[in-house]
Amino acid sequence: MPTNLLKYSLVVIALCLMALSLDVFAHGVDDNTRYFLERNTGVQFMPFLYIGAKHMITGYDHLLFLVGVIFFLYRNRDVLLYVTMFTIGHSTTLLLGVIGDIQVNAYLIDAIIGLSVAYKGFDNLGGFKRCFNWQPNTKLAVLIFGLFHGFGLATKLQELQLPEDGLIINLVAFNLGVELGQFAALIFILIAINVWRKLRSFQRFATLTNTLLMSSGLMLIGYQLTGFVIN
Amino acid sequence: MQHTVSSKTLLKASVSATLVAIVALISFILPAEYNFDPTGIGHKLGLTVLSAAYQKEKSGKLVPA
Repeated sequence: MPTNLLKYSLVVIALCLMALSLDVFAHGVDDNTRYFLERNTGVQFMPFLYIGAKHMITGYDHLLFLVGVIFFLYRNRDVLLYVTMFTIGHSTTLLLGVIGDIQVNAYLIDAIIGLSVAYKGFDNLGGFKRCFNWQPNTKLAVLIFGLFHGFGLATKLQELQLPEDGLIINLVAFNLGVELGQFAALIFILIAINVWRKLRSFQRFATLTNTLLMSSGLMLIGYQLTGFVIN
Repeated sequence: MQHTVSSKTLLKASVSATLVAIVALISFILPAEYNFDPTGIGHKLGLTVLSAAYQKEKSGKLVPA
């Protein structure tokens, strides 16, 4: 039942909130961006739009999850629906996280993002049905993991210690940039996957691809959790 | 919409995904990112230099938060 999933997610959220940390180790934003932002205050619409888009396009953790989500979605309507759920999820926590100044540990959030990738690979193989004879609601899962992806985006912005001046507009610009970046990345992913589906190799390598997806998710989890323990 | 593989395939996929992840983490990722190198493979490959310099600097002087 979805209520179970909700319960677990709430526990995970609670754990993350407990691990409040101000000392967020710098990762995810390059030095150029940092230098610019430290010397410019006020509304900076285009720079933030660009940073948001770049973050999404170069954010392999978000992209791996998207690939997993749309891997077995054959209808455009489904792609649109699932991507919308993901967008609602990550926009919510991105905006709330930064405006509400909710400090979440970046390592733990990135570990959960890794978990979302591993989950989707396992789910795509029908792992839940096979092991538990029950599959978590896929739409709800995308929404909930979307919330964590949003917190991940929020931590990257919070590392920059943005001034209050022009914060809301900059934040909205960043969020719009994230969606633009996601849209751009999706176009490439969809074209590639649609071409691939026409080939025999798609079915043959579907299992391998999702195994690799699962493996990458586990690597991200291990990488981020080690970072959390060490720092 | 999605394909459900056999239990045997699922087990094989899950075990190999975990093994590949563990090997990659211990031999490459953790040595390169954190200079955490339990097997010494990272050092032999020359990956530990990436984070060693940073960690030395961090422990040498107090980095402002």
